[in-house]
Amino acid sequence: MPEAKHVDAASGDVLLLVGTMKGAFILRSESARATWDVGGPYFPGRAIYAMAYDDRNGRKRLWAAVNSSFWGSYLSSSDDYGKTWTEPETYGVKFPEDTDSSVKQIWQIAQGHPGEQDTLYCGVEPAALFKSTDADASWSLVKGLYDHPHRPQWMPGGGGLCLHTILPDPSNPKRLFIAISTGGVYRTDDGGENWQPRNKGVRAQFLPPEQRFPEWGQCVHKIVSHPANPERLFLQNHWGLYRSDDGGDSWNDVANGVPSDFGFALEVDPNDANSVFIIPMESDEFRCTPEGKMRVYRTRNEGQSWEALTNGLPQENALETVLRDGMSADTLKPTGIYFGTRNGKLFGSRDGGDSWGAIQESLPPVVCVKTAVVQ
Amino acid sequence: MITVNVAGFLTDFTNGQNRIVLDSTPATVGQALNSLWQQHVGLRDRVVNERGQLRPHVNIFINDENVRHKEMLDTQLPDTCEITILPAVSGGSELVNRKSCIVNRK
Repeated sequence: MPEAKHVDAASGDVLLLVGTMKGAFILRSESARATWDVGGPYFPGRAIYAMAYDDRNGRKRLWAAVNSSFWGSYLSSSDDYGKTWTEPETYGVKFPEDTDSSVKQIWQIAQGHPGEQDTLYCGVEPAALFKSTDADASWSLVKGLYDHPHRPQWMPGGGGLCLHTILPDPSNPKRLFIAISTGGVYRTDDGGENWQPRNKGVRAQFLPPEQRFPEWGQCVHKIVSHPANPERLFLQNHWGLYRSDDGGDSWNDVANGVPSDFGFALEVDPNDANSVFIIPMESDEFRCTPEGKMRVYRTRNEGQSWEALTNGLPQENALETVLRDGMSADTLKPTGIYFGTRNGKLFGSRDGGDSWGAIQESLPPVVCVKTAVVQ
Repeated sequence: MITVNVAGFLTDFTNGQNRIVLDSTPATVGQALNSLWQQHVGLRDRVVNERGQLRPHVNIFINDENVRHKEMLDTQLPDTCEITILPAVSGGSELVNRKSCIVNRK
């Protein structure tokens, strides 16, 4: 096994949490984001599909979803920027005895609403939501979603039947969005007791024409919102790019001028609620960057138009794939935006996407990129 | 006497021991595993899932026989044997008999 290197971090530093199919990496830079120290690999051989940084309640904690094809899936944490990680004797995220399910993989880690300082959520495969209100000391299945009458008809997408997105509405402590491939977007307005599908206007290209806009069953790849305007959401679909201005009640196509409306990664600019980044993929089967050009597309007008961002990105023979959690933005100004590819390349921009550079070029396949600014 | 052999990563949960003599006389593989969890609880979630099913890429041998070719966790044990728990090469077999590989989770 390779010996892990470690990073140290101080207030003001930026962290990149990079999950790969062969372990996790922690990258650290000063706020200029000019050079990066690399820590890792942590959990070598394990697939790390979800990571998070938690600075609530006095913590400075990294979370990682550790997935082993042999030994199962569990949540680990580090309070020293990766030098040591917890290895729980018994797994916390698991289905209760009165269900017939077992966790195949943890796909997502999310923090609770503002004010819920110790609340964490995990989204898993098979599609289900787990909640901890005591910072991982105990977990419970969100039964309202598990018992949803649609659940038996949710179907696995190419990655499996996963609950991959968890989006608390910061303005409403009872409202939470989740997204499932393949099930679509669901919203609760009562803290998780009841869930309603919220997919009106989102197409299901894989269904016959007369059934192409179902109430639920879409293969939604990612949804994002901005805390300054939580009623507005963006959605990258398995074919289709959408915006909602009414909290998900309806969606409108905003794939205006992009080379493909198929894609996975989607990120909102923390410094501008009108700016969103996507990375279109040519598909359905190919799932690589169109024309062999590595292009990020940015809108600055909530999807009315998109511009290709190419400065510093390879524009020849760049057959890359960026997955649903493979892109993330930091909160500094100008915004830092980063993405990792299935070919193990990690690119970054420290000017909101205007120019780019390679940060790492030989990582294992990247499946997760998250950012944090150390306070 | 029944001895369980574990190797590699799993010894992180057995205080470094790779041979564990069970302090009971189980009749089946499932009963042996339950006894093993009593002695080393950290092995349980790694070897079986929350349904008590053997994880699909983990193999258990009784002496030199893979329980997947017998009755899974219902396989009867002789009075004296060695049980060996190993990760499967590549993916192992998904074609397991779900009913017969359930072990009591308590």
